[in-house]
Amino acid sequence: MRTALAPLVAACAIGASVGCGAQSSAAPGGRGQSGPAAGEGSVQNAALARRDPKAQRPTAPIVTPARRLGSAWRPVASLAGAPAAWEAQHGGVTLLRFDQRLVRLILHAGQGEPSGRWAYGDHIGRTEIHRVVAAFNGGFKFETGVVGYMSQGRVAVRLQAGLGSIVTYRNGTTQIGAWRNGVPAHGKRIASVLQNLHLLVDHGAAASTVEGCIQSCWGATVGGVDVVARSGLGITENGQLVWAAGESLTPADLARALIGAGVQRAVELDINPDWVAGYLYVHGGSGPRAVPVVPGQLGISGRFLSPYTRDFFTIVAR
Amino acid sequence: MSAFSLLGYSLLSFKRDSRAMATRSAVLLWPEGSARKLGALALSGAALLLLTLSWASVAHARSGARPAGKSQHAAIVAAFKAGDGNPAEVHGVFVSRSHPGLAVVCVHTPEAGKRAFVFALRKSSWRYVTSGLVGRAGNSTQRALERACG
Repeated sequence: MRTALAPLVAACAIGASVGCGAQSSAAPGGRGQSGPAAGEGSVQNAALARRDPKAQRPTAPIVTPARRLGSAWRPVASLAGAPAAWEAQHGGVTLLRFDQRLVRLILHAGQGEPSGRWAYGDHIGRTEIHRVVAAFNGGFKFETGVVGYMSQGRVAVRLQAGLGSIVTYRNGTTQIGAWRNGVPAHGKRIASVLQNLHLLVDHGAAASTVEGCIQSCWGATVGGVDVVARSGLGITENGQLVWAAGESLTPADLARALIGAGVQRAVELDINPDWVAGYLYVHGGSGPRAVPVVPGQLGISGRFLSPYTRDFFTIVAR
Repeated sequence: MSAFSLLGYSLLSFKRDSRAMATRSAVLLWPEGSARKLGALALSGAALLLLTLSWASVAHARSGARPAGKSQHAAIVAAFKAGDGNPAEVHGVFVSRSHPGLAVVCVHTPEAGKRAFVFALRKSSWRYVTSGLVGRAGNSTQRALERACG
């Protein structure tokens, strides 16, 4: 996505308390790493009780994309027998949910944005290739002025107070919240931060601008239409990460889907058809095979297994 | 057409002028008889290439479009990029012969096949009009133009 949103974001920042959802309830170091969603807790906890992932060596994930999806969550990846990722589709939105006790989020630098050499670069590298579960698009183009980017202590784009931030700590856990107003957690060492706009969802509610300020607050779209490909990343109360995307969504649709998945805080990621895509990686003898997850997605050349121009995220087994 | 078939084709041409030398060269590179096979392969490749080019020409003719000139191409791709399109996926830009103010950007997407993005010239700048599967977006004139994408 590109477009100069800076003046409007500044305006949003002034009226942050209501306008763009800059209030974050992200508790520093909060309940980020607790159990799975209700309904699966007993099964998964039992599995985890038998197999403490932290006590074991890294295991290759077993990824089995669901053939038919509905609004009920279906497990699509497991680690040492314990479900680590689930998928669902509802109202034109594809949702992927990840258990942070078993998998972690990694921010990758693109070939063009940010340029230069980074610890996690423009494709899924050797350290992840046998552990990758999923990958999906990152945020807006840097020129929009509503992005912040930091990784392994290097800042590509200055971080701005109040922006919605996906913060991954050195211990491998990720928290989402408004920068300096919920994140980062006190005393935790940061591995990476990606900022994009203001929070789309905060305190489990959509930002007040999702209906009336679409183009200016949530990104200019191809042809100026409101219904377009959109994506977002959120976090539930118990610390699970939820990525949501669809080819024909308004910001309100996206927020509604995330909230329906139990998300408390979320950031809108990239928008427009060329830039929204997600994959699950099925592991076999000849390496991982990428399976597209969003019906109708135009796709990303190389599917993150070969260099990509823009920043993106991977989900890998811990 | 691969480099090997081109090499084989070159060898055969050379053979007409200097058969003995060509035979020696062929023997040096491939076992006896391979050069002939490669020649046949090269001819098939060339025929395929011709067929593809003719098909593309037919597509352009049927759509009533011509490839955009250099400066037009740059301006239209810039408009496409400004609309948040990915220029890396553009594989052709065509302008309507009957409506010179109408252009199409052909995009080959990794997972959704070919897409057409139609632009119109308004007040000396190209503006996005519509997009979708080739031959399916917009009005009849625009759909006809999209056929240039093949």
